[in-house]
Amino acid sequence: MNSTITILKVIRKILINNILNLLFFIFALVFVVVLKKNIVTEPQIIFLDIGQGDAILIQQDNYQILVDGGPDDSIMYELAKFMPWFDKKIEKLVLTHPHDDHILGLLILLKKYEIKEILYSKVKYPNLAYDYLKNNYQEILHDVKAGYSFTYNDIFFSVLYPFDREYKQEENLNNESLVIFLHINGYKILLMGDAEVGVEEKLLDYNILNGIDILKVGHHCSRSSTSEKFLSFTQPEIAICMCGEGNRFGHPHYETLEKLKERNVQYFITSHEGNIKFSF
Amino acid sequence: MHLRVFHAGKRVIQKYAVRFGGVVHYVMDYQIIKYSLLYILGNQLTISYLRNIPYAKIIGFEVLEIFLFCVFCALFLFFILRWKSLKSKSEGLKGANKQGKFFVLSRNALILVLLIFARNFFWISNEREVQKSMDSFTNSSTAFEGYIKAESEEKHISQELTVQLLEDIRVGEYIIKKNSTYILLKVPSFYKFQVGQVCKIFGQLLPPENFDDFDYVRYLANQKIYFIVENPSISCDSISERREGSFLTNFLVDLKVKLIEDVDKVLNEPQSSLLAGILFGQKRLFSNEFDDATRIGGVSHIVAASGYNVTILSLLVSNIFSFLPKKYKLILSLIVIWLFAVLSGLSPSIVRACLMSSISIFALLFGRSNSINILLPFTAFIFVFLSPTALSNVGFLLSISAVFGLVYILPILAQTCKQMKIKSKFVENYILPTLSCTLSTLPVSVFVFKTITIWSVLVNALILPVLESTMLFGFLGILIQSVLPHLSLLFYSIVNTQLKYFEEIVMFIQKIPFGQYLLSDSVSIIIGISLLLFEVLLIFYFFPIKNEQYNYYLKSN
Repeated sequence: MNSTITILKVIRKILINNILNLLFFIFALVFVVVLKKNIVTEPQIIFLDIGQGDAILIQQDNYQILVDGGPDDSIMYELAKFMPWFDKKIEKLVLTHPHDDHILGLLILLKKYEIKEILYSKVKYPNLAYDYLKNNYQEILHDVKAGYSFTYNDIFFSVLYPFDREYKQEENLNNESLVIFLHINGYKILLMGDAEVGVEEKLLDYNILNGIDILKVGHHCSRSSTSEKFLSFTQPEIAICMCGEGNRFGHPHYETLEKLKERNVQYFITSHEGNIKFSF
Repeated sequence: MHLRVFHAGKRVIQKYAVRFGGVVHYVMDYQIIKYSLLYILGNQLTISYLRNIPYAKIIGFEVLEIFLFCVFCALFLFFILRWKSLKSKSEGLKGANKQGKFFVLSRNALILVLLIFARNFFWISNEREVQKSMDSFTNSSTAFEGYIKAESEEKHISQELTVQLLEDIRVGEYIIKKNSTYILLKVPSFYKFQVGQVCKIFGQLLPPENFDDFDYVRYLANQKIYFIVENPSISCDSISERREGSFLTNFLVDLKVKLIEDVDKVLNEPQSSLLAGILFGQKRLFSNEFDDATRIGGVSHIVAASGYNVTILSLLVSNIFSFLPKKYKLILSLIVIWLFAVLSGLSPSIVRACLMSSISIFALLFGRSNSINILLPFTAFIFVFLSPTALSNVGFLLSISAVFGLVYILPILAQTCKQMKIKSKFVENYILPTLSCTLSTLPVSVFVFKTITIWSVLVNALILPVLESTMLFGFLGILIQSVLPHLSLLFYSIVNTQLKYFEEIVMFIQKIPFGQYLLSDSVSIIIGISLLLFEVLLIFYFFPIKNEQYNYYLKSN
């Protein structure tokens, strides 16, 4: 009996005597019980501003697909702005290719988040980060090529490149990038990774790419990507350039932006706009 | 009118003279305070003197050492002879007593000086020895074996590891002795290491270089680091096969890492790093934006194990157990604080913070007392003796000045509130301690960070009341996470909401276009010293003494 009174006293001291804390407690209860049920269920795609690199979050409910991780730990801070606070699980990580501006952030993320599966296209590339990924996360790595696809609710995800048939590694690692096609609630989205003109040529057989709604422009809007031919074929409504402010490569290149302007493609640059979010 | 001002001024000066004289008498009467302060001062002068002696480089350190030793022996002999001759010449008992006192004072001063020199010679001669061989080691690749001494320090794309050598490194005729230096490794941040893990490292030993206006070389030398290896080839043994370092430290660090991993599984950034900082004093990395915001808001100390989060812990304990008598609350607070130190892996910065906060608990619970006046300089002396460069450590300076604020500025503010008839527990518990800590740490932060912010008190006062229960609920959440995950989610949701509130406040303040000012080097020195002088004068004049007629200082006079 005495101990019960003591416990009650303690609770009274913590909560009732401290009105601010009590308010927080009630707010947290409401937050957990009510708001958790009302998570935005509409699918979203967010082009994260993580500096000079790529990181694209696609999510619906508590299901997340992250394409690339950027060059450093910025990804952790940016992801936190869009993912539910209690969700530290990413269902699918996608590594388009193992250059540092795509893989480093991803590896940092692997230390802090629960990752179910990593999709990548196996290449020969001697690099510390890439070797570390292959050696330490072998059991969740999944080598994918063109033809791989899956669906989650309103999100259809498919890999268009590299081709599986007669596979031979390109000399330019950018042209080994996974090219991803998303179909979300009737909208067509094409994520080019760092793929350059050579890959674009190979994609012209895909009739599905005619009339793209959102194009993540290849190789950070470098002049080595986005040919006239490819633009004519895909006819994107919106283009996204993912680059860091004052980067040493001079991305986005003037020529690429001019091409987009000529075709009245509305373009957004992450270094200017910050995170760019689309809900469908 | 003029006469009235003159008389008022005279009264102020008289009060200062009496109080200043009292403090001098007080310090002189308590040997422990006097010698602690003298040691700290002497140590600082010696360190800066020895490190900057140009001759030491030219004529060799050993010669200088012998030279200084001879000077002091001569001085010592001089004082003894002088005393004896004076004693023999003196007439009567009074004269002999006076000379005797003089002898004791000069003997103690000499012992102190010798102690300072002996302590620092060891430190500096090691530094010079390593520096002498530095050129032969740099620009050549070296292989060595060592173990991870402390937890890695995260950077945005890399991490820094301090390695304790397990063997001497030899290149040609030169040797780096295994205990003479730690090696700093800069490796990509995706690697995982554990404290005590033994690694074979192959890379180029490089001397650190200063950058911008930061004396990086001195900063590392203060931590006994004279070499850096960037992106080395590294292969580590599994800890189950071989592990070095103290068993207790390794065990505690492992436990802390495990608990922080649990937090990371639930909370996002920056909430997880904030909680890790508040609960375990863990130094974590924030985004540049948030880092700037905490600096502008003046709340960096909350997550930097400066001792203030330990004070929050003691406030929490005294609030929860407010039904207990003061004595038991004090004991409980001390137990909880030292449990916190153990949970934080007994890292030097936390131990320092806990020691300092233990003093401030004495101050907060017992009010002003002689024991605190003695304990504060003595603890500082212990730290400076153990690490001669402690005064160059910003964390140490912030800790000690925060405690100084709680001991000497808080009573002034409390008295002012009493006079203004403000009776609020909120003001008493949160606003006043925050204000006194902010005021006392202001000179240090102006001097070191070269910034001045007007938001500090406001932001701290808004955040601090929340942090008490953040600690409690955070701890409960971690405790039951693996047993009752859903209930722990409820606790975490409170913590998350509170830390979101922390984040929002800090980010809001950051957006205000004024209130934070960057200072140039010279201006920061002038303002820093002026603020310090102002605070000292404030304490001298306003520190509450119950009865001026019978206070210690006046009696001493």
